[in-house]
Amino acid sequence: MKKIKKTRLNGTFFILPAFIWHFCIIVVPACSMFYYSLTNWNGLSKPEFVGLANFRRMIHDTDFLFAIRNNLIWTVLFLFVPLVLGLGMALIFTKIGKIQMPLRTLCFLPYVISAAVSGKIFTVFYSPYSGVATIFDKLEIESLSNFAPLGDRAQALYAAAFVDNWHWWGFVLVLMMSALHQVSAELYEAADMEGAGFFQKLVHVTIPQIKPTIAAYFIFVIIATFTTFDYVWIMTQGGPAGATELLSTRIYKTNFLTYESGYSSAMSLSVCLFALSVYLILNYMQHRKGDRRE
Amino acid sequence: MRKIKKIVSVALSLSMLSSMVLGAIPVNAAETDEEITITLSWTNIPAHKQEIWQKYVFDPFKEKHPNVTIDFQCIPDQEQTTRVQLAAGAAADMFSMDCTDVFDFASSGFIVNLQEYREKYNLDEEMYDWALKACEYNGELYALPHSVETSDMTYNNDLLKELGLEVPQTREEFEKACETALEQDIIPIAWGYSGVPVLVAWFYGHYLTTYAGPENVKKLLNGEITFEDENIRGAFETMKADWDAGYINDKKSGAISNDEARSLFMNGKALFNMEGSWYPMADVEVGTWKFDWGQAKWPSMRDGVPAAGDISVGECVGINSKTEYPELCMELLLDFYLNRERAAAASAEGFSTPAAKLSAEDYPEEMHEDSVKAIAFEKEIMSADIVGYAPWGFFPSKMKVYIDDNLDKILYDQITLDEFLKEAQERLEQDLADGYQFAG
Repeated sequence: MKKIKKTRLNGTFFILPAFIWHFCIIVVPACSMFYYSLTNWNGLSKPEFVGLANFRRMIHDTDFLFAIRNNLIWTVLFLFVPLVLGLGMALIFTKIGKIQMPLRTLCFLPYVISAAVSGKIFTVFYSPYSGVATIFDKLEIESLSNFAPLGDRAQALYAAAFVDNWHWWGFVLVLMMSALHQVSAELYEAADMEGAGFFQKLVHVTIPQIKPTIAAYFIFVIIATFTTFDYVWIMTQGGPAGATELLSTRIYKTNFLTYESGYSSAMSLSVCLFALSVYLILNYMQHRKGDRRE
Repeated sequence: MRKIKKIVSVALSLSMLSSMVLGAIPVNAAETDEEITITLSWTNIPAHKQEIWQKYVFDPFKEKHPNVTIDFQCIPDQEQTTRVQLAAGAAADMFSMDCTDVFDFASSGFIVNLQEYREKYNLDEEMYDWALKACEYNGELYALPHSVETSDMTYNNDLLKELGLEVPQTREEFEKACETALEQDIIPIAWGYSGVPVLVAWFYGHYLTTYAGPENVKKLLNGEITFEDENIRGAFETMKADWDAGYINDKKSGAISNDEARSLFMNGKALFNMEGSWYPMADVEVGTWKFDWGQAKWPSMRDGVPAAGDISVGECVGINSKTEYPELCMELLLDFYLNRERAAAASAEGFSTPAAKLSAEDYPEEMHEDSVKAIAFEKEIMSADIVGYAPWGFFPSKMKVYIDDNLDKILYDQITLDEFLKEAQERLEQDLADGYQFAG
């Protein structure tokens, strides 16, 4: 018992510097957000207490509500598109032997390109004067010769999400491949002996076996998509006409362009609480299922 | 053995703690053998412009003060970074800023009051009075105007001739030029704002000046009329009509960056460009345009309001109220701005036009013809009887930020003009209540 206590004490000593550092630069500012969300601080002058006014304003703020809508679309896209693509390709790659490695590397390549670079590259691709539209124009496909998704309110969000998906799906592929490698070959053999087809094996063997990976992926994506910022900021800064505005870009603009730090703190706090509640719900559901199985 | 382990673990953690604490303690300036470092924070400018700073601003100052080192920090998102640094008490000794920020920074006590220097160095005689006025708070100088500029229309004269057109001066001529260009598959006005929404200020600035007229803009900003005034409303309606007609980059401005819009103009695919003096003087290297180009006032958008260009302060310099060397900072700035020969030579090499009143004789004799042309036109606009007020130099902060952030929502029919004008008016009233005073 004494030995355990001493070991813990030693461990605490080692952790202490990092903990103090983390406490000062993460915990304190994060907690101060609670306070600032109740003020009308502009980032410079002395904050004045305004109670829940910022939260009331949020409910009627059409830009903020539109950003939530866009964020939900973004989340849904990221929950399913890279997963379906990644899992589908992983299933194919596990069957193709030696050629798998170069193909897997090729698919993973976009993931190592920085968001700034890929965002800029795709901005050029999407340009009506230098991008793919010029190819359509040369091919005399008139309906696509004016293809300029970043300037089209209906297409801009999906165009930006496509680039983020392109960057991200290679990672999901690798993640799914490693999950598939964990599935016991005996289960497939047993399914084969029972005469199960491809889809039956997928539904009854593969997916149940990699469910923990998929669940972790869901939690990660939900949290990550509510803080996503880079691609939209690089490609459109939330435009045109707010069509690609996400919560993070709205919060950034409110804080650094309109200098309403109190209001942006309230928005940040809401997003944090939302992401936290989603995480807790999913976690609770996972544990409940685990308990039932036991 | 256990004891040694314990001693090692305690020693290690103490050393980590002490290095962390020591790292956070600033080095005393007095211990640095009289060496002084002044930090100047600026927007992210290209290397060749940094060299001009070095050659014309820092090197001559360094000759006079060999013990002073100037740390010139060119950073992206400098404006936002400076705000955060100011709030944290860690900003540079001097920093560039927009005139619209003078109010916030001065009222919060973050920048030094420069009024005594204004009198001491007779700045009202040496610099443009309107530029100094744009840097005032409560009637006193709080920042030094760094550069002045005009916002107007740049045109491709070869294309105009090819289409049998003259430089438009009236609404009728403007419409004719745009329609003719569209018929020939030429973009009438190149302009892109994707990724930089604040560039919409060029667009509405022109229409407010040449439809509503500078006097009405002045009345609006003084709170004498509202956004609902027919002249102000008409300016936005005309702007929207021209957008819908495809005059403005074929309605694709939201899909392209300003760099791309510039390349369209540069490659002869567009008739006009809506930028101002900074474009040929500072943003492209002289001799880049291989066609006959010119600059003109933005055409009159309705009868009774003349064609005009807007004037503005490009950026100004504030001195951090926490600096230990306000005198040195001021000396560094004025050593350059008040040395006409050096300021003019820097300007001729692509530095922004300094706010000091430079005459033709101050400029070097051997200058590229593009520079001569651009400088002459800028002078012409600045000395014109009627000039407009560029939004980024004169408009109040909250109102401008709202318009910049929401103007394209009118263009894309996301909100109605009524909603837009109502919100803009609310922001203006907030600015006026906060103490904003029009400086034009």
